Amino acid sequence: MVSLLCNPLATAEQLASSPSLSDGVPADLETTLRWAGCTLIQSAGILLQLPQKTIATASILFQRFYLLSSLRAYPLLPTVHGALYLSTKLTEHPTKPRDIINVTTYLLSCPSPSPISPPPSKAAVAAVTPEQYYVSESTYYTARTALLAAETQILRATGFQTAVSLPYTLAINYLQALDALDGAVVRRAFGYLTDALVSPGLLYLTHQPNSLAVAAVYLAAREEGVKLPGGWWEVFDVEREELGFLVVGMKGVTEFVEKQVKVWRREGGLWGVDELEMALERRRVLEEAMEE
Amino acid sequence: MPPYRSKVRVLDRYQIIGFISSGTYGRVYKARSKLAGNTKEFAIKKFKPDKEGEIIQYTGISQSACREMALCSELGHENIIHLHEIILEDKCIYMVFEYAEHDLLQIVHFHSHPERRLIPEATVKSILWQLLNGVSYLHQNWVLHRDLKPANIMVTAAGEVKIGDLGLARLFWKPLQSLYTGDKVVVTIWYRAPELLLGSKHYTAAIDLWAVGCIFAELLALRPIFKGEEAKMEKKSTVPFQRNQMQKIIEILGMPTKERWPGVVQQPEFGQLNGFKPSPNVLEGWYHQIGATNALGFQLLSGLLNYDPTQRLTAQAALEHPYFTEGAKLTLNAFESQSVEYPHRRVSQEDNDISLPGTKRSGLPDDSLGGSRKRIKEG
Repeated sequence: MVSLLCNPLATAEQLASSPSLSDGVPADLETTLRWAGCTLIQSAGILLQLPQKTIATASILFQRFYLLSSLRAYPLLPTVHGALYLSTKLTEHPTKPRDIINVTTYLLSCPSPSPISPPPSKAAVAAVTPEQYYVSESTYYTARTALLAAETQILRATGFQTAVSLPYTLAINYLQALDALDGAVVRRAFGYLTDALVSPGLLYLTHQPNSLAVAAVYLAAREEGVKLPGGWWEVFDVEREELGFLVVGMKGVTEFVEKQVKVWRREGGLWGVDELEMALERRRVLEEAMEE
Repeated sequence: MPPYRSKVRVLDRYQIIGFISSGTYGRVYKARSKLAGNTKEFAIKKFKPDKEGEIIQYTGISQSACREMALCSELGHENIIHLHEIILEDKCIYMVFEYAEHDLLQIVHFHSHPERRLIPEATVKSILWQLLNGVSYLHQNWVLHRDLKPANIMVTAAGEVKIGDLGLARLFWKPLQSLYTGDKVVVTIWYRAPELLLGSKHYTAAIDLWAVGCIFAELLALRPIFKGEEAKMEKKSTVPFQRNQMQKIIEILGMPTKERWPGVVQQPEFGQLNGFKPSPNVLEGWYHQIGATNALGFQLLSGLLNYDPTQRLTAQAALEHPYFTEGAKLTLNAFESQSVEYPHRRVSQEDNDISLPGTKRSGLPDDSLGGSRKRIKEG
């Protein structure tokens, strides 16, 4: 049976000890790197004019991949590229590796409205010149080779389980069923669902789409002042406890992102193997210095 | 990052018995497992990489492999070809399917050569029911096959129908995006539904049922019912109107009028119909002329070949049609009452090196030996 409404979820063991953690990447750094990857996917997806279903699928493939593989063995940027490339094919929006690489290079080499490359000032955005994000042939071929290898790695790690169910349309269905379909509520609910893609709690790996949709609708309706019948979430197979957990998780994303933007400014740019190794080395030296 | 090295090599696991066929997606080989005690046979589909520009370079997993991979690993039904495993080697993807000895193209060919012998009704009935059963399962799971044709419908030696080749299949449960976008041309032209020919952008599960209707007709007539000539694409951007194919349909079914198909006026290529001479629906005459007599069979056929996609029988409705419940008893072994034994699939001993790159550019003669899968010209 094709599962339209459920996804393979992470097991408790997988969440407790990630391959990156076992490989010596501190948990907080992994959280930051995951955030950076998903944020880059989201921003690149917007610039590539991909639909949100393609972007969300890429994000989920990316998150699933690092549940099964270490960030030290498989650096961030090629995985972002590979996840995007694969998801564009899976969701019928095939996009060339060239376009994906151009766009991420742009985002990573100059300030933009994306949280991944926040501008120090408005003037800084205006001052960007094309030379800053030019991709040379050799850079392109290196990145492309890594992208294709990452695609293969994602397929291998996830055991070819590439089907991803998303909660966006469910949110609309639920609002329709509750006779509360309203543009403002839908937009807000979609916003929460997109926020949840970068949540540190890996909400898409721990909760099924129906629960995510219910939580987003709950928050959106509350904030837009739309009243829904008491206990409505039970109709959609969500218990109060899970709803409460998800509501907290989704609401927390704004604060989490604000914090990560600062962390990324300080630590930033850990997209390749070398950068990550240097960051780990810096931490080790710092820790030793603290102990002395 | 070290390049990916597969721990599993296809040749470590499977012994290639021979080459079966090739198509746009790649090549198919017949194989046996090397595991002791496993005597099953398999069909291994080797995808050729998507091409980019003129230079052949690896550009990742092809989109059709992606689709087939994503769908086949989730589907499980007795009338859908079973995906046994996927092996990803360096830059090459292999999908290992259960092996089916026959396909409908080969069965139709066997019955029409050297002389025409009708397929026994019990066999047609069983094949059609199983085909509809598989299509119904796909549709219940929001999957459109989009490329149903005799060559894609396999039959095992035990008479079980297995729908294969989901390389064009698509999910249609959340059509926020028009299903028309992406690849513009879908379904081999002889089995292409009229709404697709008329440029419909909102096509539905009904396109698969039209194809089933054409296949049913072909099982009875032993030749394609609407054998049009394909108009080739002149420019890459524009899809040509398939005038000849539409002509063939109109010759038998008559004009698609507003009365028969209210939505026809909204079809993008509706204006093209002005170029055809009005003609009556002669499907019943055609049905008798090919030697078919079962009145319920005719009723079912006309329900499947209904111009109006909204009135066309659904897979579920077709399964419940009295054609299956009355007369000869329905069996799940299509060959149960058969005295003839169908020839086995031709497997070529040449070109059976699976490790060679399987593109046309490699210098291997494509299709040269896939005789049983190749459409043989009539006459």
